Amino acid sequence: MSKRAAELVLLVGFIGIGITLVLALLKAPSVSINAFESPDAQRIFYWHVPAAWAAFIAFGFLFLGSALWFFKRSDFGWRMHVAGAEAGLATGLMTVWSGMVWGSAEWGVAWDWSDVRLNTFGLLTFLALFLVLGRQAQPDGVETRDTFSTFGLFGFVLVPVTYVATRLWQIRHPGPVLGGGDGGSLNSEMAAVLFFGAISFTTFMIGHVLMSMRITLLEQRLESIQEAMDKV
Amino acid sequence: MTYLAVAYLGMLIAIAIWTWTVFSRSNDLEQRIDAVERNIEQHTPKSIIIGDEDTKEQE
Repeated sequence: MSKRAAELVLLVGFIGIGITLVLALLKAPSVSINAFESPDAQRIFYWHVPAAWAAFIAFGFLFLGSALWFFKRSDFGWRMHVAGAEAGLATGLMTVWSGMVWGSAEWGVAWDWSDVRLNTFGLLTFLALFLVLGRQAQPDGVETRDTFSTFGLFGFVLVPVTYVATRLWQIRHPGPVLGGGDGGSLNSEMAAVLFFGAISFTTFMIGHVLMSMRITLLEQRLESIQEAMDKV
Repeated sequence: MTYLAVAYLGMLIAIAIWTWTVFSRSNDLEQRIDAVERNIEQHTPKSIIIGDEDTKEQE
């Protein structure tokens, strides 16, 4: 995919995220005032859930890229690993931050260390942070790539654990509103805003992955040119 | 509602900065590569060819 196309996908995703903000604040219907301590804060759900959804897909890219590098020694796979980690960090931080804002308003605390889903998702985001910072701190090479790919492969275990956490051990994080087995609890307007948010965040994440893969390719190209110059 | 709008806007600004950083990194790398390649063209003998993916030298 060309540079312009990747930039366009990222930009469209970003604009969509902005529109999601407007829809969440102005268009989405209010929830029952008795159901929440802070009903207005519930609107953050239209940001939080799509961001988490996009983060899971980004961690999927991270896993796939790690596997492609580790088992096939694919340069394309390594670029996907790097892009998955960066996109996972961006969307993971959005999820964590929006969740903490809601937690502060609804629970009175930003973080509950006893909740399984909060902690497994937090670990996933820290894993992405470790991979992004670690790659920048280490010289590129087979050993470095193998080490980080291993983290990408095994860290992915946290994705299904996080997904089923509220089904198996519901402590404080709300249970699923979609696919939870009870037919869901969203009306059509809420579902439409949530769906728009999911499409926007997914587009943003895919654009980010495409751009990050391109950036890694450019970094490798620059490095090869510099190595060639050193040999001259 | 105000604190929620502030939190949302804060997140939107953070994503905007992040997105800008991605664009900026890409453009910066392209400019550096262009500059290095221009420099090579001006100062290297024509018998040395530097490829994109696999660096090759020909004598």
